[in-house]
Amino acid sequence: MTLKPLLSRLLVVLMISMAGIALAAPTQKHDAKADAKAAKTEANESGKAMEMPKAEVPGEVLLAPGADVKFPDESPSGGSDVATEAVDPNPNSKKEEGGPMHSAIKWILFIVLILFVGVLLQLNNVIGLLGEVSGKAAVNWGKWNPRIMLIFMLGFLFATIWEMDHDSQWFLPESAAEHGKDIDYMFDMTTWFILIVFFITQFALFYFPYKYRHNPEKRAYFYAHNDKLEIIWTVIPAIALAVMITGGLKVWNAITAPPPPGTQNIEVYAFQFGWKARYPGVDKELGKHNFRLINGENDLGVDWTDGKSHDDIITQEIHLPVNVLVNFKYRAKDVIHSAYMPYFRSQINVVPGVPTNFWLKPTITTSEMREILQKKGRKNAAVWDYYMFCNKICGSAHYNMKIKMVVETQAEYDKWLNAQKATYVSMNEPEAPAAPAETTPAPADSTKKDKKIALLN
Amino acid sequence: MSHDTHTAHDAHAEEHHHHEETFISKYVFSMDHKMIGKQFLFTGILMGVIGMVLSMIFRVQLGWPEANMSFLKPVLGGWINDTGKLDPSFYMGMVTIHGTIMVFFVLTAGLSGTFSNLLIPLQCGARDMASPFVNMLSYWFFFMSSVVMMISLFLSTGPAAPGWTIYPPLSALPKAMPGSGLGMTLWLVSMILFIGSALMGGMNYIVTVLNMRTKGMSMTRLPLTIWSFFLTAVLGLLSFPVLLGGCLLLLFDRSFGTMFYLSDIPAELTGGIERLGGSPILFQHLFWFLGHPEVYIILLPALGLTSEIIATNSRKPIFGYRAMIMSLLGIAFLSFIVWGHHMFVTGMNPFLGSVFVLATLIIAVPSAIKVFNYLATLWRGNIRLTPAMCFAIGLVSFFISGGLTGLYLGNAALDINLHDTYFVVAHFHIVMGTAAIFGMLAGIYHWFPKMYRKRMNDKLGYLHFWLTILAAYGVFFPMHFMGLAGVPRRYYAFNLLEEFDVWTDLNVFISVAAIIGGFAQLIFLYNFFSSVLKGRPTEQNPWGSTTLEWTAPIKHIHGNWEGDIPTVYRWPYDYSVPGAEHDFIPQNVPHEGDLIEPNDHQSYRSPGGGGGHTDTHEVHFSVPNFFKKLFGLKPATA
Repeated sequence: MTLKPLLSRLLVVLMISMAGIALAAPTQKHDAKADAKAAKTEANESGKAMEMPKAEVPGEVLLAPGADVKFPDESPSGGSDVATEAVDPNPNSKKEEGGPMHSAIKWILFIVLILFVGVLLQLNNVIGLLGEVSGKAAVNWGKWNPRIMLIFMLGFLFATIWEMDHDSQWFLPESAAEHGKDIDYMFDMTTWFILIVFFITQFALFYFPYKYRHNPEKRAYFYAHNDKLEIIWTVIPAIALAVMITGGLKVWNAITAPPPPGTQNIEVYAFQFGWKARYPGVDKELGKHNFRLINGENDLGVDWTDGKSHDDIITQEIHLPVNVLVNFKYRAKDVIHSAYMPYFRSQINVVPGVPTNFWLKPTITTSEMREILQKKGRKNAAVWDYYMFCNKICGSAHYNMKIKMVVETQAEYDKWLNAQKATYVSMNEPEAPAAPAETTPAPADSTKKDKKIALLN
Repeated sequence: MSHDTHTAHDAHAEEHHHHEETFISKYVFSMDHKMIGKQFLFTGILMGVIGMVLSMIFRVQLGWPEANMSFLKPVLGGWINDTGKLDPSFYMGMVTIHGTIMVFFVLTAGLSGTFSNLLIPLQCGARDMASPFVNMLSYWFFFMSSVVMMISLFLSTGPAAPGWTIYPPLSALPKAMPGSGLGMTLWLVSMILFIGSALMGGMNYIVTVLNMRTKGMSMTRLPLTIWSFFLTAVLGLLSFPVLLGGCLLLLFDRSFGTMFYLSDIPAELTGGIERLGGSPILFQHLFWFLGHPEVYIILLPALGLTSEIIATNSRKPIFGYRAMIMSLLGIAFLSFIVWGHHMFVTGMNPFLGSVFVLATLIIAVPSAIKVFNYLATLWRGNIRLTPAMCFAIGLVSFFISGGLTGLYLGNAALDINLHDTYFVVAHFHIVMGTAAIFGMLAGIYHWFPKMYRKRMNDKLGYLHFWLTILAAYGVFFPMHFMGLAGVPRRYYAFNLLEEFDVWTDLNVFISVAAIIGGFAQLIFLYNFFSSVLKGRPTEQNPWGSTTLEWTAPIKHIHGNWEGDIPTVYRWPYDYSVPGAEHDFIPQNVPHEGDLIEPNDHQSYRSPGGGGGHTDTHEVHFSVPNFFKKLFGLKPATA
């Protein structure tokens, strides 16, 4: 092989690299500026969206098939900022990048990346040719690969430790519910076991190819089996797992046991794309419900003919008194949702037609948790709140389906509860009050009371 | 051991040599298992690229949720709205199709289909599969199923979007989201075709392994690849029909007004009659009854390929051949009784949950045994790091990482806070999306000379490996921490919820790593296709491997061997046998002296041909002997 093909390849590599750099540099700069501007404009947008009154708008939010796919404009929980952008674009926002120039830049970047791969491929050829010119292989992969394995292993194990430390600032703090302590204990125990196994095996895995790297002069050690070893490394994991199983099942049985007597019930109702809570009121019992009663005015399908429902309070927030057992009774309107409260170590699916429940005892109030998060360095800890998130794909706005939760002292909770009006009462008031914060607006139709329906509960 | 069918089939093979082969019969509607294997490979790679491109797009969305994505308009059209935001329902559609393509089309058909077809007849010593015609059908059903799935991406209402797990009622009610309309119906049609393909293929593999092994090839002389393909096919045959049933019932619920999975759904939401009396949880049981064996259908072939590659490239027998078979059997059996661990938080009976916890954590034991056996195989080996070997070692690394996090998820109490979070996403991507894919790539690098009679470029292979392993760990390792903090999966964006906004920077890192990993695969694609066209020609047995496929001639012939099929005299792991001339002895090389009859005991210990191994005890230690001595019985002598 002569020098000519080698030089021509080097030239190609240089040209492509320069073209790539020439295209990439201004692209990045331009892009960074554009992104900063875009981010700022959107920050303004989201600020505006948050201020809009959260009027509860009843009604179906399911999308008809073939409909022009837009967001439901009404989103009872939290205001989907992206949706507002899409449906109601602020004329000011059109100033931001979006035109053909912006697209062209991104596509050029894409081509640059592909060219870069081409550069790597050409470099590979260059190295091969260099080897041929000089008479021996340019890179002795037999020598270098094992070394890279060793370096990779050391870097990998180090990165694991570093990341566990670095990301720990965002880990969940101690459990805010009593049963969570047992879960966290099991978790820590499992982690110790796993880390030991992880480090030993990953070390061995990448060290052996280095230590026993290929030597054509030598033979490997013919060692086909050792039943004693097999038994040892069957029994030891089995024992460790038995410990994890028994510990885990004890905790599981405690959590999934029926709620202790005296536990307060709160119904939590999931729908696309929000949550509502129904408190049982003074009689401490929830009124019956029936899915056939679900309509615009009666989103939860409460059976208002049942006397027990007359003092029920439907709310848009969940308030809980600290250190009091509460049992969440879940119902869904349309599809499977999941009630996920990571701080309380609580999750259970909310399935239409299959009532579920999860009981717990909150032990840390919102203000106490804010202090804990402040100490951990979480930004905006002073305005942080507990939330329940939907955790089972339920449609387009699944990512923005949440309900605020507040854990407070018994006194604050009583104060809040007494300030709420029973939904039945507000429904039947002579004139509908203006903008009620948490109750259904329209007065109930008198014909509804006449319906006799087989009751489900 | 049906040696008779061997001779009958041999005669049958003679007839085939007189067939005229046209382009169509050789390359399109081929009934030759080697060609069908390549067809599966091509389609699998194509679907893999599509699945990867989808993931790039939604990684861009997750990494830069505020960014203007109008540059994607030429590709995605109306799915990017006027302000440059990706449509959330199309995002979910992409996530769904990505999952479906990767799990079924790439890792089941592309992995099992390719290597089972290529290797089962060759490593068992058979002329072809038991039914070449059904084999051909199995590929074309797979092809049709891929076409239908691709068509669903182009619908105006979008592809199926309720996640690859398609839980009803979201998937059963067309009004619930746009992706539950025609896209969902096409998904079901595609999967029904796919299941047909899987069942046909599976039947072929099982019958061939059981009935068509060559003379001397007892079950305990089979390479571990064949054991894993065989058990995979059994898993598939027993579990895919359940998914078929589940999908059919879902079709009925969608189109015929039935109520298998629906209850308490008012008429307005169904667009028809109200639904009462069914249970969405029924679907989950039916789905996961396949779903869990499915992930082992994905994993077992990858492990089988790895066993072969690690043994060949360490020049050592795979440590504990019998224990490896036992663990494969254990994993296969246990995989049928653990499906409920995907459903711990559905509200099912807690006692049932406990049963699933027990079975799930037990399945960790055979998996651990396999890892330790791989490490013991490497120990004191003479390790040759070919690209295939690098990927095999990478697989073991990801299998360790992913398997260990499974211990959290299998424990129901811990699963409460981790279910459907990024912890789960990290876990299954590491075991399936990297470990199994690495197995597939290792298999491609290792058996490329067999498939295409040429060698791939090793240097590009190393580059591909190092970039991919770094990118893969860079993408999926940080996701564990997101999951631990409670970040849910299948979320279109995190920046709306203050709680999850803190993960923005990490999401950028993950997206960048994902994009780098994606581009690194271009190196592989270039290497693969340029080597097919103009790679350097291979030699007969480039890796010095003992198994039968390397004794077949380099040029593919219908019927695999020109004369008689080789007879097998020993197990497949006679590497570095003390006293032997070369550092490997192929399976078809006879012992000095008499032909030794296939017998589990002796073939495993491979006496003759070099003195076996270094055991000097008069009574050889073995598990049966251990228990015999324990109970005061006389142990067997060697």
